[in-house]
Amino acid sequence: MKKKLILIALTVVLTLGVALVITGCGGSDSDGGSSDGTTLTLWTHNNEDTWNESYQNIVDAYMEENPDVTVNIESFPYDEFESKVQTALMSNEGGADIYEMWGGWGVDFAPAGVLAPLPEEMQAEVKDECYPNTYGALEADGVIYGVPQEFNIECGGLIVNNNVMKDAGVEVPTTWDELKAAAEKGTVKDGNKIKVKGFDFVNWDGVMYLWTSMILSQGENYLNDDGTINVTSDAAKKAWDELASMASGDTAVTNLSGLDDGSDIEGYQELYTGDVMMVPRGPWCLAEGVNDFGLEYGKDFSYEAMPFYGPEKKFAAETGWSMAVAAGLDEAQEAAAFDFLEYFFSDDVIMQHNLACGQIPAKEAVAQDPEYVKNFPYAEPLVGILDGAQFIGSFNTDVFKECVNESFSAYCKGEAGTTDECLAALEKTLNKKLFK
Amino acid sequence: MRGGRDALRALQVPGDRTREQIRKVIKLKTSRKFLLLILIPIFIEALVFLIIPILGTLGISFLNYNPLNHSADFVGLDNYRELLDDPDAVKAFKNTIVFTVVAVALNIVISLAVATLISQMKSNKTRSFFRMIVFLPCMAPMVASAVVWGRSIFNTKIGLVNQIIEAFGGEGVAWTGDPHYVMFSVIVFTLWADLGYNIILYSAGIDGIPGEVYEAAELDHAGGWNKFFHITLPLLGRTTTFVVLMTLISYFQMFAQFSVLLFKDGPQNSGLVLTSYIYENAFIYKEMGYAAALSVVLFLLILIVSLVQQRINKVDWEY
Repeated sequence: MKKKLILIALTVVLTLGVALVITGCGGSDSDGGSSDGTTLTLWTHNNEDTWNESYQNIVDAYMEENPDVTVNIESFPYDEFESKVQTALMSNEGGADIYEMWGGWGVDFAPAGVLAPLPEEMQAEVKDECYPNTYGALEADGVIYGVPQEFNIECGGLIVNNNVMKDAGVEVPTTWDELKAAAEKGTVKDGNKIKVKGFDFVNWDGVMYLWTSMILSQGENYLNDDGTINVTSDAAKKAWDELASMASGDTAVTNLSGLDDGSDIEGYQELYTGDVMMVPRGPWCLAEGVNDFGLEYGKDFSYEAMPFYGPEKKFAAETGWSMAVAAGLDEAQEAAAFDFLEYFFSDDVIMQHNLACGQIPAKEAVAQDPEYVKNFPYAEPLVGILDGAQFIGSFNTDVFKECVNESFSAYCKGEAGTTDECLAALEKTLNKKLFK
Repeated sequence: MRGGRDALRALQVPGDRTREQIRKVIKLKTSRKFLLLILIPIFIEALVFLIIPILGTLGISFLNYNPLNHSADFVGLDNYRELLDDPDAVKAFKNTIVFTVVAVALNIVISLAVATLISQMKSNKTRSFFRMIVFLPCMAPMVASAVVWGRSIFNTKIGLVNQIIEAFGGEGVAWTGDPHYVMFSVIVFTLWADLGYNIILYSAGIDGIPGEVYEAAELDHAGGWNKFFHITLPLLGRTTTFVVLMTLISYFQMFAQFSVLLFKDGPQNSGLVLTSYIYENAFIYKEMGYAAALSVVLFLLILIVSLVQQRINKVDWEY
């Protein structure tokens, strides 16, 4: 009898243990409020030390001015950051009060009600003072749900390997025709194999950004008035053929390896090793040339203004890194969170952050401040063209890039029919996939 | 107390034989209760982590559910109908079947061959050494191995394979970038990473075959091939059933190497499999209903293949 009782007791303990383990998974964080004041949690991704250091400096300065508020920063590796933010916002518990957020995620988060709308004055401030593409993805039904930190720009700047350019005997191009001629001269071939690429725009972002910019610069648009895709215009076809001629056939100045060699080495990295002469890319690639490849900026490589294909200096740009407040906070918590965002968004603070992180500012006043360019000379070729940016569109840009890249690759290989057939199929696919 | 005495008296009345039967019944009932009690935790675990999620997935597959805005409109069979019209889903389905059939077949043939070769070795130490060698890749996490293979072996520019090809005067191939080679590359990597388990299982199976059977065959002058095809292979029936079933289930669910080795499912979705497509729909496009429908299809696919495979390989003997 005694033995039986012990066995039953053991079983009950075991069952309770399992039940506790199971239910224990759902433990929630504290609400962050404290009797001494307000505690806010800010989630960021781990970037170079400079990013984390900049956040910490801003938070320290804010807490010094607001001793009743404590801001705790929690950082996560980039690879898992999106899924963590998404899970926290979906479950509405265990997450942060303020999120650093990649703009592209805003397309999903903003209309979903998981982010708190900015106070009206802040919305007006963002609309008046920032470039439209920098908050485009944070806007849903005319309401803005986050504060943009930066202007994400991938088109408009040209990284140049000065040594390769010197060997080719060419100058930095200032027009599209000069760019093509320089690229042809700079390309070194061994039979059909390209040894040095004159102008390498073929990468995950590059084809889409350059092509859309070429369409826009001709005065056309790849977006219809209702936001759907239109890539069957004459301007789109002309630009498509121009790009294809630069990536295939006898006139090729690059190849498709950036899309289909399965490698994670990008054209700008090959430029730093002397295998590419010119690459259109954002300024975020520049620090790598100095830090990882040991090159000297200005001597070994430089960052120049990229000539536009058409007469207008226009291009498409995504929304970049931003800050947003979670929905459902209590009143005091939400007020403190927006107060911190307002502080973060003030001209002086955001400029210091942009400089520390090597970002192009989302705020026009900061981008055009001579002090900014003086401290961040890489930005010089870009600040003059920021007005020409168009928000890329309210859709998943990864799907957009994937479809464009697939079609471009197939077209260059002669597997996608004529230009008309290829672009008609691409337009159909894009509209089906982007606007399900 | 009095009731207890009455019960005892009642037990004693019918005689020793009946009393013994009653004791057996009580013992059986007690042991059943005990069994049920100790099984409660595993029942709870199965209920929470298996049954409810499966039923939940089935339920979600009838909804247009976006987890971000908590909207969930009932759409009936629309998600399943969309599957048939979705070229990516069809491609993922085809790729999954091709990968599973080819990789499982090669896995079984190679692991059986290697296990047989190892079992031919006379020394126990040599056998153990080779078993350890073939099992080594299984000990490394699949994700880490895939990163190493992607960057150092299959890399077009600096990869080991292309360097060897170019050293012999050939031209390098984009192993994970050319749609013609993508599936081949993933299969080769998977076999390298996963063969060890089945080799160990087959080795254990071969070791379990009684030596007398082989001795009898030798008395009848049976050669090596005859012994393999008429003794080893048939007597490994149970092992083969288990190995094929487990490998099939595991390969239908392969995910890590496709997501790590390939960039965005490979060119023209040549490396898109159902698991990747489920993940993309659920967590990138937030189409949870559609992802659930894909999951149900994958579940049914595995269930049907497993049932058919079990029926075909039914073994009703023992030694």
